[in-house]
Amino acid sequence: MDSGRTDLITAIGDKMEWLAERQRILAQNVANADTANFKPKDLAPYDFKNTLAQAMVAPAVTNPHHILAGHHAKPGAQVTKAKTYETLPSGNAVNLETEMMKVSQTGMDYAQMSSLLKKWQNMVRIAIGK
Amino acid sequence: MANEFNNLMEISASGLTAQTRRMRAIAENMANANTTPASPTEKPYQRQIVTFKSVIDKVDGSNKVAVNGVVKDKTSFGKKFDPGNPAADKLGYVQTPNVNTLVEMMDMRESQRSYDANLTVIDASRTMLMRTMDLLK
Repeated sequence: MDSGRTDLITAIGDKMEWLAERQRILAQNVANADTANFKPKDLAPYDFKNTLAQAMVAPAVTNPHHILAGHHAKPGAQVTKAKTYETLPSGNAVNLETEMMKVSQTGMDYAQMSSLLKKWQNMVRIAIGK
Repeated sequence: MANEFNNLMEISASGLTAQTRRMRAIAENMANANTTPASPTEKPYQRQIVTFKSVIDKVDGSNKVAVNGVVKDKTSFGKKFDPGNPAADKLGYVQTPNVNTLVEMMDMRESQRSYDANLTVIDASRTMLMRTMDLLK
């Protein structure tokens, strides 16, 4: 197995970790749906392209005029303030519908990522003849 | 990773506990909506309000929810003309609790909705955890 492929698997794992972390943030928002002065949070969007650029072989810079494709920053799970459009008189800005939508979106993305991993697993299984 | 999911469920569980406590206060309010005092000098039942606060778990840094306290509603009591009641004052009025059953019903619905939302999050988290476990098969 060449390292390029396993790197892609690492990328999927990274995304899954990001999704789990996002689910945690969303659970906090839902749990605090009736807490005074609570503002909902969210994670900064996951940059898959960036991770993919890391997984792939990066072109070498042999001339100062070369422009490096994709910067090599680690995809950070940065907690940001979620956009809200309604704040209650108590100062709470959690909108349950929005949060539930995000929760199901996260769940679906997670399912997608895990089935991708499963597919890769099956492929390896075929390759080793089991 | 699995640990992350455990934390996740604990957060939602804290929401469930807090909402349950609120439900209890609502039930007590409803049950005592007509509790008049035993004598003219005593006060009738005073409505209870549950307040929440966001607490940061020192172990994993997550924002859980906890009951801040149960406070009494400071709204003035009602009055009912009932001269035969042992709790009636000289003019024949009895003080009634400051509970409005309609407000309680609304509060109950809100609490129920939040409870359901927390349950749904637990369900979603469980599905995610199961998917992770399926990768082992």
